[in-house]
Amino acid sequence: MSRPTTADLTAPRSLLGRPRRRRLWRAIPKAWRTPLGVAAGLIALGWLVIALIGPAIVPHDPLAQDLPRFQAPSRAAWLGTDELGRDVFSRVLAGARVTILLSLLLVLMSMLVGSLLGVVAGFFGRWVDEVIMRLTDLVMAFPTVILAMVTAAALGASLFNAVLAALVVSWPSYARVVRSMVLSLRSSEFVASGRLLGFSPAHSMRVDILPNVAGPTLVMASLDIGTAALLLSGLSFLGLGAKPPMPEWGSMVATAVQNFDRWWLGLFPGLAILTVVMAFNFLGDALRDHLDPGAERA
Amino acid sequence: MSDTTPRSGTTVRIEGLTLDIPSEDGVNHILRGIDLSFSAGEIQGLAGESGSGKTMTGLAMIGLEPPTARITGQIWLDDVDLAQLKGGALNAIRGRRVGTVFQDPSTSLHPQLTVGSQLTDHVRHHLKVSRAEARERAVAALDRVGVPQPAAALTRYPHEFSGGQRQRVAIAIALACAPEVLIADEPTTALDVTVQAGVLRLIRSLVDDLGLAVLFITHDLGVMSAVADRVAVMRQGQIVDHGPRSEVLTRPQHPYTQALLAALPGARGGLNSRDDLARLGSFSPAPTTGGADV
Amino acid sequence: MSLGSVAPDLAPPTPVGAEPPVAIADAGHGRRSHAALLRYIARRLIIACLLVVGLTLVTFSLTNLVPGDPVAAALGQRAADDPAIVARFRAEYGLDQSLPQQYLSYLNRLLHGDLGTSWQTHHPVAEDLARAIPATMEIALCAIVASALIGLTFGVWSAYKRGRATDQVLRLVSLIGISVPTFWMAILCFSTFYYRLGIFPGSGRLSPGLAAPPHRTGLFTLDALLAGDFRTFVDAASHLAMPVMVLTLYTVGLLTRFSRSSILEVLETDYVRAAKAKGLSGWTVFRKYVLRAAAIPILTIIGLAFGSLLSGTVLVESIFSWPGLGTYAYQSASKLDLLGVMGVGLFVGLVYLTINLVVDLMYGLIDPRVRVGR
Repeated sequence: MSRPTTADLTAPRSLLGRPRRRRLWRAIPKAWRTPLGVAAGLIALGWLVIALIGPAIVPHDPLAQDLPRFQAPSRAAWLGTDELGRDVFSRVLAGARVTILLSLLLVLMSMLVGSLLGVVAGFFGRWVDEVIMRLTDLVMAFPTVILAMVTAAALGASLFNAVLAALVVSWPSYARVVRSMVLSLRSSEFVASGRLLGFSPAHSMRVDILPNVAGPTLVMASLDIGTAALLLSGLSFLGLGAKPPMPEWGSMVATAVQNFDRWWLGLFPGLAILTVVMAFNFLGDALRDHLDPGAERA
Repeated sequence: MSDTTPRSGTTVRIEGLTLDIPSEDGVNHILRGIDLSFSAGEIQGLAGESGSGKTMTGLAMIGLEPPTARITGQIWLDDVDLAQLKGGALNAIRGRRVGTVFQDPSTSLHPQLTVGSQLTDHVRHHLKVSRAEARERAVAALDRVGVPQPAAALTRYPHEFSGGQRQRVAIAIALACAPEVLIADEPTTALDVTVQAGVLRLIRSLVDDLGLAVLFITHDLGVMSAVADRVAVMRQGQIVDHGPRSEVLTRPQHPYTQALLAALPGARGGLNSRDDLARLGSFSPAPTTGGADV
Repeated sequence: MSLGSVAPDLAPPTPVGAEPPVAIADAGHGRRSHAALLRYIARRLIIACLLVVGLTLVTFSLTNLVPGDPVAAALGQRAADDPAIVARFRAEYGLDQSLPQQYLSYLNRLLHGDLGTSWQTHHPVAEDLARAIPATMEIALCAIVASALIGLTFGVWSAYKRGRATDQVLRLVSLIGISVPTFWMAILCFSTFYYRLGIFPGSGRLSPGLAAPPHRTGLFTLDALLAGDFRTFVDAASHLAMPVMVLTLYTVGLLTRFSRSSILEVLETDYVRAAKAKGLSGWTVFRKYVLRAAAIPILTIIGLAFGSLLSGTVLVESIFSWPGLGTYAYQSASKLDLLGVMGVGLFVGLVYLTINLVVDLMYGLIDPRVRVGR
């Protein structure tokens, strides 16, 4: 039944493997290429642009109290006006800068602080490792919101302190993941062979370990942006973040607590938070699935 | 185990089996027209490198191909076309008429369930017997595959056994309902070489004693030469070489088979002499009954 | 509500300080396994105790070493300018001692159940907490039960329908669940279901005019049932509905996502494939093989989710005027009432640690590689 030919032997492997066309397109996570993914990408991009150029495109001064108070959404004020006669639409746009940029800043800071401590713990081991890891245990034993709230309350209510408070609770997960990656990399064969080639510990760290830690850490950070936005706006909602005249989504939602009949006060800033967080969560999820197929093969 | 003697003359005939998996950029043709048949009392070897489709052939037989896969062709178990069966009808065949042994017993046994529990659940399900009777059959099966102290073994967990014992447990599970067909997917690959021979010997003796029809899937031509009566060599979803063991392994027709044989460690350009083959097959337990004349 | 890294997404959720159970598996043979299990338990208990000490250290130092001036906050700026008043105040609250001394006396008082007196309510913190805890527990317990049931069902359903429409919808729902700001959802629910539609009562634990049922557990619904007072039960339950709904949303999202990925992971294992190859029905495979393997990680995340629910109430309770820990913590924090904040932090932290300990011990019970060989 077999008709052996040498042609069989040289048949191109690509019949089985995937052809390597459209390489660039393929580098984009699959989930990003779905309608939902495109929508999430556009939303995230849109908010980023608004965050960057927001003040230039607002129809009104977000701080000016020159409109009639408590106006329902209308052609004059698209999203209505608040209790001081400020334009809600302008304030939502202006708030993007505060929430998004601060969230990015927070994620960046916790990634840096956490990774640094994680690398130090994984690299030096022994008591350094022990101290740092017990510290992460402690912070993680504390419920996030309460610890952030306690810290923010103790530091005093300001946006900067809210970021610091959020930093206190968000670095340990990076420290843990980075530490365990450093540990497993340190014992991996290619690092060992680097050391055999005569790399110093520092060189091996720079050349072999850090580049391999960077990718997963960045993915983790991308997943954290939404969480950071929720935490920061939550602290502001509690009055522990942004101070009053500043347009900030969490504190804008807080004004709705006293004004339940003025639905537009809370609805729109809340929707802004929701869309930002959802978009970043979606993109982060897809990125993780793409880079770590073991986590979720689609 | 007199009641485990299968109906005589069971035959498996795979005809024109193709299996496609649609993917993002077109369709992956995993199997491209497999024809293969084997009967009670013989071990049909299926060789090939990874990705050749040999494991998928075994999985497709019991309907365990990936959910997105599309299958055409027939898989006849006597007069039943397994390719057409679904749901309950398929479950009635799996484990009952076709037993399966997977590659790595350290992952194919549930770590949190006792051996007894994994050995009796399908027995009670298929044969509708009482708990006590299922237990008896389980003990008999463990005894048959050579697990020491079979009654005590029932209450133990897989991690308490060595690798070879674990694979024997897995074989006992596959045999517990007295199937006619056994699919053995690389059953010795994950085992130590010293343990391999024992497991191969066990499979051989099961075929001889119980008249099982066995599909023995392996990438290891050494193992293949030790155990198979007939050998089929797969490459890129097709069977490229096929015949009795002696013919395929000593006078390979297809250049691919020749290349495979040449790649065997210590083969020095091919397993062409009887001596080489004999050396490879030296841990073969007994003269085979399937008509191979090595 | 942001719960930070309830599930660090790149690593399986490991309870605080937990070691993989495999660590003792090698020793877990025959008679030795009993000792191994005891060692495991002892180790976990010691770690838990150390963490409790650490917890008090954190609550104490956080509220003492940071720059906020509690004296000014408690007394108001004018009184804080009068040295005599400040000195009396500091002496009264032990603020004139050195920090280690303050900590030790704090610990000592803690051991006697004395959490100090709140500057804000002028009640002992322990008394305030005793009043607030049952209220919060009632919400948190209902929410965790509801979200565990819904989240698990969704997760399993989604995993089994992987890639199909059902899966896509459930994934979107759970994504929304974890992305919604809880405090915003609370306000939306409040203004919709109470203010506009009047379906649910808007604030408090009971309608005005109804007396609290006789105190047994402090959970009004349960107490009302125990007292056979059906009307109070219905009223208490309808007051519970909205806060529970809001808190459940996030946890359902979290649990759906997590149980989906746990189940998917198990579905791909060899032993599930082997179980299918044995011809067992899909239900049996799920119940006996899949669920058992996914149980530990799922229980872990449910435990963590409960802790996060407790802290999540901070953002929700004040909107519903719910007299629980969240409202108390918020009021204390905004007034820099250190002892009040410390009390809440300590309590929730303790609950968190207890859950972690229980989950750790459950590893030992569920996983035979840790369990005593019967």
